[in-house]
Amino acid sequence: MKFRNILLSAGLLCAALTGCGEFKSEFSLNEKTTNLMPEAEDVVKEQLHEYFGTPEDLVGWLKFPIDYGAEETVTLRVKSFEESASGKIVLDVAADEQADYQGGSIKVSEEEIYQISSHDPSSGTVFVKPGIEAKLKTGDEVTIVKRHGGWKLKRGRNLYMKHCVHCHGVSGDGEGPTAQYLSPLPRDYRKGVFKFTSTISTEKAARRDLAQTLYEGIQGTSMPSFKLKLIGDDMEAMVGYVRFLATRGEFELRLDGEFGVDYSKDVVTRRIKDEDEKITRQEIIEEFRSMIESDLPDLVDSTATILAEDWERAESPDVMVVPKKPRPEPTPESIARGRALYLSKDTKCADCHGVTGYGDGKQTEEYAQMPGTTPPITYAKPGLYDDWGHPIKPRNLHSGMYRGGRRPIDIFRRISAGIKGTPMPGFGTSLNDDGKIWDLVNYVMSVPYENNSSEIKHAEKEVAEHTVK
Amino acid sequence: MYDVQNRLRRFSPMSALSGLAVAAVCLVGGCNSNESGDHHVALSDFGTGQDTGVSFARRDAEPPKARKVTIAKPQPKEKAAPKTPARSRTTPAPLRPVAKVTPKPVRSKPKQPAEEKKVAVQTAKPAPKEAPPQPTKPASDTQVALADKPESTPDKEKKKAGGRPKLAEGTGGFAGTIKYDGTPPAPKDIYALGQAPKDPAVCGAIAIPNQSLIVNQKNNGVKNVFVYLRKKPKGYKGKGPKDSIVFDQKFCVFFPRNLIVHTNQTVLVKNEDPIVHNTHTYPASNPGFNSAIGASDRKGVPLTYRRAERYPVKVVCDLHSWMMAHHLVLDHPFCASTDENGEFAIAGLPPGKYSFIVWQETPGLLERKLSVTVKAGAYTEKALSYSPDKFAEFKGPRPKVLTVSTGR
Repeated sequence: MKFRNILLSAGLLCAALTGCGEFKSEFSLNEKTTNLMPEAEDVVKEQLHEYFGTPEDLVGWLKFPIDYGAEETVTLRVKSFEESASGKIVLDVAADEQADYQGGSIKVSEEEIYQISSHDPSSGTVFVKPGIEAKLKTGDEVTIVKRHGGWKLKRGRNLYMKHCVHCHGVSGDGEGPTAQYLSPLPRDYRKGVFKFTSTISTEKAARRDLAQTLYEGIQGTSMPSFKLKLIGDDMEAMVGYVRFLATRGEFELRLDGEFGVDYSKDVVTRRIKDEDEKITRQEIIEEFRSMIESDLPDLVDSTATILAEDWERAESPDVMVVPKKPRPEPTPESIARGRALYLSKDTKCADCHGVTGYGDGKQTEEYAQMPGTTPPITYAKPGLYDDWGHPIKPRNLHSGMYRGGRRPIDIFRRISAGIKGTPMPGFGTSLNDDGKIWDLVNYVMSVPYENNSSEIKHAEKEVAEHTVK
Repeated sequence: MYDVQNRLRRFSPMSALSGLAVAAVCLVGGCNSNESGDHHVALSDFGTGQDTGVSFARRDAEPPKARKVTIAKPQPKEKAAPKTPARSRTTPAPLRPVAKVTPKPVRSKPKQPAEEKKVAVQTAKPAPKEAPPQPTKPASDTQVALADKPESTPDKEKKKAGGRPKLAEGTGGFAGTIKYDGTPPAPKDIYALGQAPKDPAVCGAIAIPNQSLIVNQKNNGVKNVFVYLRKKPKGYKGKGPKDSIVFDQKFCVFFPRNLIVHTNQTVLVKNEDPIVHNTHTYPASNPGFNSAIGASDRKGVPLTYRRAERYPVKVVCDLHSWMMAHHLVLDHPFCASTDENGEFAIAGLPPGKYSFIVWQETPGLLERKLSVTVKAGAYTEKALSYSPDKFAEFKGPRPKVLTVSTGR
């Protein structure tokens, strides 16, 4: 009995210890990739690994307009170097105002690079491990690599792994361990679509938009503000990493789309069964291989070019939504004009947001179609859906919560450019007078303060009844 | 029984010891690897870790370097990107001013191109690293005889008596009919006159027709079938038409149902109804478009596609869920949509072998690769006919839908 107990406890101890062993975070694959036939799936996997790496060993593809962080170096002179203690070098740091070399390395020549293990900024003493073999003399020049190339992406990764990963997941798929408890669900970056942007309706999110979301959080959701956490370079690094994940996800999705048409598991099964085509699985694989051989480099390159161009264009001032008129005072007249517009046939806001603004318009009771399905598939439950296939509700304007930001300009941009990935269209095209959009903004911002007993409310009700009938 | 117990008793100390030994191994080798392994990056070290967690060895960076090599600042990109304030951060200007020391950024001298990474596909060639991809494919026979600018917009000019565009010198064409092999289904309405569920005053003015499959009752021709080349022929350099085309909506129906768009051509989305519509596209390679088109907007909202699409793009109006149309976006003019007799004609093709896609909105693909040989000076004729089950809706597996309540 005694021995058995020992055995048991030893076994448990062993299990507990092995359990905490090697942990490696990995980018997961999109469902569409795993639905490809194995040969095609392998190609997608290899391409992703080639151009984006793993979370532990990131790869920066310079084609993309992502700030990976350039290498930063400084050249200093050696003050003293003792051969006996070859790991200790005293440098003349007077030339460098910000002599912080922690985590950097010292370059004696192109081939000889030593990691700096510790560093005393006041005296300029640098310790390296293992010791330097070369003979350094006082006055010799050495290059200190303060930051390695790609430091920003790496820092972004570290911050992401600390603050974001539990909801948004390692690969930005919005399926972190906490995600299942959240409502609404965390954003899945892999479509490359972000909802709240300052760009026109056809463009992607600009850096400033992602930064704003990080800075302010998203009201009414689980997304908190990181303004106290992400200071200085950290914010840029974070935005860069989110863009990296979005680019990676979209790159994968586009390859899936390209291969999925002919080589997904379902299509392959159907093609084999199809009597007209008379093709065997082996022949399909051959066909795929020859296609890969001739087209893959082109395909990868053009896919990446598409993404790079799209992200680059989003930064351009030409695609930014900027009102041509200043916001008028939210006078009762402006609010009433906005209210009339809200109910008018020119906007049909009330179709979704409801006549009273409670987000209960007619459209929420209709059956929507799944996008991109041929023939159209209707969702099993009525209501509105976003591009990720999740049901969404039109905003209840009475709540006073504005997810994309509560500044008037934010609401202006939501109305003018729409909300990407959702049925909310941009009205900048139809309400070409910015004054009208400002009236709508004034109305929307007045809704939470509506008072049923006020005269304006009464007047509005008349407008409502009149216009809706 | 006794024997077994006895053996167990004899055996137990051994196994307990071995268990402890394994545990010891775990302690040394397993958990400590986080600290000792030089490959592993601590994930919360705020970028100060010793290991470089990022490597650049990509095709745009030249010279090619082995991964894991510390490199200097990113190489200049191959194409000059418009300067943005954000981008300019990557310029070599040191972020931290270094006084008096000659900032001598270490140039990344060409390192031994030791282990250049290759695309590990068994059959694939190495991905091009530094140079922009050269057309590596052998020139097909279509390249030789290709007219630089085939007669643009074949349907507009030089109609022959038969209604087909006249062929230019040295080019051929592809023409034919698409028929429904069976009793043509009678035309149906989605909503009868005045029965439209939304905005009956406008949308109810006509019966909303079901246009998902339009079969000619007399000659079985199928309307609105796209026939097109997926990729432009090798060497084709023609430019798209300059004039814009109109995509209209009236009585809550898109017009036309099938629209062929050239890349970078402006589509003016108009609206003849006295109510707002929203035109929402679902392209695969282009940014989506979801814009309100104002009531009675006769000026039109411009919509352009920058890149060719592989399959027709679905266009809907979220406000009137029955409204649907398709845009076929291509970077060449070799495409057609069948007319009410199911006829199509594609002109201006250089002689050669082609494979066409035939696509109808209800089943999707009718032909994945329709091989056609085009000879100069004549139309290659093909009478295509498909059985009713080919036109039936695809009944295969459906995408899974995650339905969760999002609350408010």
